[in-house]
Amino acid sequence: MGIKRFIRGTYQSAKTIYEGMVVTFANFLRKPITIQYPDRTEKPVVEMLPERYRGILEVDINICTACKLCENACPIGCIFIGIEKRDKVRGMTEFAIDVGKCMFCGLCCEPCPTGAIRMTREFEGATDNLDNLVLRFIKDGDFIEPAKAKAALETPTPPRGKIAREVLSQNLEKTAVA
Amino acid sequence: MSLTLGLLVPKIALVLEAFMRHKILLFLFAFVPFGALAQIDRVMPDVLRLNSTIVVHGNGFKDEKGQWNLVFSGTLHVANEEKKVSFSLPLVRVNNKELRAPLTREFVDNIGLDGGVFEGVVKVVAPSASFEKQVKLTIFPKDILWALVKIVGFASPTSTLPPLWALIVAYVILALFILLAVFSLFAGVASYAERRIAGRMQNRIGPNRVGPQGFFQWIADGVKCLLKEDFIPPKGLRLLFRVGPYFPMIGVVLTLVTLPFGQFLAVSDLNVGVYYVFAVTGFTVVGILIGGFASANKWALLGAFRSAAQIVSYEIPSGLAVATIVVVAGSLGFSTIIERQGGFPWEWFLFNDPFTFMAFFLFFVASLAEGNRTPFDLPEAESELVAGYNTEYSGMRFVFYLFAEWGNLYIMGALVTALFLGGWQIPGVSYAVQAQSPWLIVLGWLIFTLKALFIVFVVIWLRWTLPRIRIDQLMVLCWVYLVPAGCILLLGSALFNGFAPSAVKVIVKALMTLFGALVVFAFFHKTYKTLKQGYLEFYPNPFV
Repeated sequence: MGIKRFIRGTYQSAKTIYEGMVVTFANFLRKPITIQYPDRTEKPVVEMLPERYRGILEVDINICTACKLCENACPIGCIFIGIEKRDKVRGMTEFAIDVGKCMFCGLCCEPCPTGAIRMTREFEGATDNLDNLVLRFIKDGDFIEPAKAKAALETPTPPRGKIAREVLSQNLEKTAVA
Repeated sequence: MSLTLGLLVPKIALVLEAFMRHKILLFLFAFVPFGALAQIDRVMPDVLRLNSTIVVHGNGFKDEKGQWNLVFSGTLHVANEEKKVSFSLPLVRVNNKELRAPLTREFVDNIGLDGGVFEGVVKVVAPSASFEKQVKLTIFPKDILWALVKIVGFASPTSTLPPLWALIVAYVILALFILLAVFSLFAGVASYAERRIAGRMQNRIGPNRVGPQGFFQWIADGVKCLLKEDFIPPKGLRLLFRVGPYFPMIGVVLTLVTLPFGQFLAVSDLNVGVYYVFAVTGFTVVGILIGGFASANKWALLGAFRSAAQIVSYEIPSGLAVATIVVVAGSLGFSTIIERQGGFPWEWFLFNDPFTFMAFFLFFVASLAEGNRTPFDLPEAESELVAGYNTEYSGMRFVFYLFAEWGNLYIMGALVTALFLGGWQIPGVSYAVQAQSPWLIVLGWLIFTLKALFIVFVVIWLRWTLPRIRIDQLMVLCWVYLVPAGCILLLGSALFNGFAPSAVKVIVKALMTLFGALVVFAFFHKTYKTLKQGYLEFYPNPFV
């Protein structure tokens, strides 16, 4: 009885250890699934995300019609559009989105008639200064006249993400410690 | 007349002396002329190495004051030439049946560094008589220094040895190199290798940022640990706490002294190498107990008890498995054990008979337990560390314990290779041929290192394959499964190797080799099938 248990125990442990070693060895010879973000990825990271990924917002100010539908749609109120009248012409002096408050729901992009405000695939906004996350799409002192909706639909627009990246890096440069 | 008196007077003096000292037997022998009973039966050993002692077995060597000498006179066959030799060695009388003469450097000088086969008459010259025997001995003074000389090539083979101070300096430098540089470097690189191998087995990469392919990770870890605060528990015992980590390191480093890295490349090739290794690995237990006790932490103490119990228990099946091998090899010394094996797998002791095959696994499991490696790493496991002996250790002291563990990996690998896998033997090259050429010695060293590193890889592999076993399961495994198995294996091996006819031995050897080849083939076949049905691609490149 004791001997049978002995032999059975030995045989079973040897067999299971052998099978376990087969599994581990097979995994040893396989390709690791690590994605070495951020510098050793095969494609740029933003291209690995889905097309309609709801990332950081950007505004192509050239096709914006200043209708303020996005500002009203935002549930949090992180979009601020400043409109003035100069010489009987209505125009925008400020278009600021506080991405720190944004919840990336996409509700602002739905009502936009021209698609000026849209979500990009950018997500790398981490910074040590919250002021860097307020994206201003109109430079200080500029006065932009809103576009006409029909014409705006024909105007070509830069690829998604370019404007957002530019504004983010400009913010970082402004507050960078030398 | 005067001759008779001359022979009689010492005899009478001897009788009186024996009578005065109440040595009755000697009193009786005193009446027997010396030469009648005394004879030489045997001169041992057949192959004289530099650290051996010539033993003359015989009968009737009486206790006499005066210098006994052993005189060799005959011819020495060296390579293709013959040399007439005649010199003497001082003898020491052990008892009536045995005389010993240790080989000295002058003897080697006389014979020359290459040694040879001596054929001639060996004469024991006692103060009052002499008797002789015709013998044929092989004198083989090659040792680590010969190997160094040949490899470095600064002295011609038949010249005499360099002066003593140069030998001492060369030995010290070599010993320091092996023990410090090789050991510490290996321990560091082993930690890096383990993390990379662990990563690949877990479908990830492992450290690859610090240096090319992450190779300097261990240096970064070492520097980090050096910069940590040296915290000694205030209620602990300061001196013991500080001394604790050095004991396992001493145990490991002392083991390296007898390990045969190549044909003559052992720092000290002891006749009792295996016995010495077991004696010296006992230092680890002392270090662990000191570490646990000096921590002023009762759970650390309990962890130290468990760990000490584990190591001490597993020394028994380890010793039994090694005894199985010693029975086959006929000697405790490493160089003889490796000499009896060969280069090809069917000449290894692993496939010699089923008993040594099982002894391999027994010794391997016991080594894992001795080295605190998974699945026996309860004392130091990451998730149980709160109750382990190195709980209170931080910084470099902690790293010393780890050093000892990783260094022990190599010792495990080297021991297994030397005992079971044929050591530094090259397939197809015999011992004598390898002894002649320094390039073959270097190749043998390379083969030894590769085999030992393969075993290290298997140990690391097992760490990431098997779960940890509990302390009670550990003890049951040792005392209920391994110790009886070891006893049976030892008995079986002794009976089989002692009494089986050689035809049976050859058949068994062939069957075992076939069995081993089958197991290896089945393993790779199963690996291939697993890879084929998986979703990740086959990527054997270690550099991702």
